[in-house]
Amino acid sequence: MATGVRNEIAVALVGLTRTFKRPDISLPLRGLGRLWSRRPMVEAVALHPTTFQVNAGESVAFIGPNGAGKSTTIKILTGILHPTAGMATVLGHVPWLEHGRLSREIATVFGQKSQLWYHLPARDSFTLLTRIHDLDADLARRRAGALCDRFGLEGLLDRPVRTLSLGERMRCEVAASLLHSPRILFLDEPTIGLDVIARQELRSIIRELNQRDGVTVFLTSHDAGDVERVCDRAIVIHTGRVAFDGTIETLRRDFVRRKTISLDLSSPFAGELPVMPGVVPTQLTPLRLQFQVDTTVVPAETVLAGLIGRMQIADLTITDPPMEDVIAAIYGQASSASEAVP
Amino acid sequence: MNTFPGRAGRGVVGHAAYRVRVIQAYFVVHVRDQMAYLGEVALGGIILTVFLFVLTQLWQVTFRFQGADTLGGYTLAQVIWYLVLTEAFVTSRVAFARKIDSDVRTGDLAYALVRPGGYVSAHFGAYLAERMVRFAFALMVGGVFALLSVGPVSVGPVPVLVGLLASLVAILLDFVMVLGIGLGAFWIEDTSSIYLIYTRVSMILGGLLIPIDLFPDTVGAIARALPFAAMIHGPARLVLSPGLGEVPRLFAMLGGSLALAGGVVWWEYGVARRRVTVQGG
Repeated sequence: MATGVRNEIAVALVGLTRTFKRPDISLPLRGLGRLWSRRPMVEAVALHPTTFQVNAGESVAFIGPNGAGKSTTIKILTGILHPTAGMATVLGHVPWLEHGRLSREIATVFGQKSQLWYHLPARDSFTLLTRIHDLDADLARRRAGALCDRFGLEGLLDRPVRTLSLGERMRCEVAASLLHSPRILFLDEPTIGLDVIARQELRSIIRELNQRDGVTVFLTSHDAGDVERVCDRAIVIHTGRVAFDGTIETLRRDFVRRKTISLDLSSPFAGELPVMPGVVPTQLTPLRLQFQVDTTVVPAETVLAGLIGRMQIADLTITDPPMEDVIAAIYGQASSASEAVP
Repeated sequence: MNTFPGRAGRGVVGHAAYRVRVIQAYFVVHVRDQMAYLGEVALGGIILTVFLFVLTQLWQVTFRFQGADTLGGYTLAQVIWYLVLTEAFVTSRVAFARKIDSDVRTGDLAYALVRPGGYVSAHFGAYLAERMVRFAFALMVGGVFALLSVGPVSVGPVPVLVGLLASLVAILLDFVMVLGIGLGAFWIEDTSSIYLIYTRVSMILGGLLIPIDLFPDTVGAIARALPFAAMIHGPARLVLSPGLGEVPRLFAMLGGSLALAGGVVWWEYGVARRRVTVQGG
């Protein structure tokens, strides 16, 4: 089934907010008062009013540092948490009011929470999930067979889950979550703890689900590879606010205003380099020069104009920073913001 | 487009049937799960045999010391079979309050609540499977022990069947009470102490080691007024009694307790659901 992003709203949030009350630990309780006194409660904000929309068929990375509000958002969208204010719909359902109906149309995969029975073969968990989702047994059997072929689960389903490797288990987890043909797949750190090969396999499976079957993917991950290889769009959240919403390309290009200019020279360069603010040489060899350019200080074109003509250039490349750096920058901004708060 | 919809749009009866199917599915899976722990179940059988051996020695001494053939209407053989039945009920208990307690404290409860099929149905199916396997195994081991040590006792098929039915209702009541204790984790730090008190009080006042007919009058009256006697002593007494005279009172006590405990836990579950909060974000 060839698919793409459809003009149909899969997830919509309007001013979604979540606060919670916690004891005020800044007030010390002394003496016998500790035995019966209660600390006054203070309100903390887990999610500031947040608004965004995801269309059906999109593959969205929802990223941010720990404590940014992304897990809170996913928990609200899957019906686990009630918001304090605002509204959200997932496939037209209000998650916290209609999670029964919603659960038939969405699937959740939490990297650290298994839905398979540890001591039983995964096939038994599949049978149980078939009953829980109240699926027609014949259709479910065919569906399980198709998933088994697609995810390469042949030979794994009859082994107790405890004997599977983490990568094999995660493939079974994702397959199990797809038994009821969900329209949206929420993934929370699906590749955590997996080795490189298992990560790649799982990413390509998720990518294929989105591209081939049109399943809307909503992924949170700290892994840059997950974000790059699985998603087309990124929503960055930190300190409970949406800090960026755009394509992965734009995120890489614009979130970190830094480019790397590499020059391969056809003859050794022995002259003097111009000194420009915002330009830091990172590699200086006779036949190769590399500079990191802060584009908020100086445009890349200006740097190039200053270099061309001074040397004989055989090849020139301008690259955006790697996704790891982008995510590190996002997290760095969050931590400096939190440090700035008294 | 969802190409694989469930059978949506069910009415009340359809919904109840769905819940039964879910419980049955959990039951089947957990019976298989129990089979993975046959060694643990077998170990429980050894411990039960040791218990029964010690208790048999104590009762033999008691009967010898009293110089009587019957005590409170029980022969020695009947007391030992009584112990088999009460021990089977108590040793087959599943301490799932700990799991609920942990679900509440770790926030896993929130994840479990949004799964289709229902949190209570899932626990009930799992509980029933574990309990039935343990109960059947304990009856088997205890039965063999009693046959070898004191021989058979005469029992009628109807009292046995009605007694087993009462045991099933008692197991359901026990589930409701333990569920209520586990959900207490919403209000108190650790429910294991409450569970410990519940099990110990029910053992003592339920007539685990001594039939309630042998209790002093005042203590016996208190014990009979509580549901524990109906859960532990009642079914065992019924199996060993020649008639069914106790049946209406026993089922009234079990049914009333179930209705009361069910109502309280229903309310508690409703409040608990509203209190669900999950760390993180």
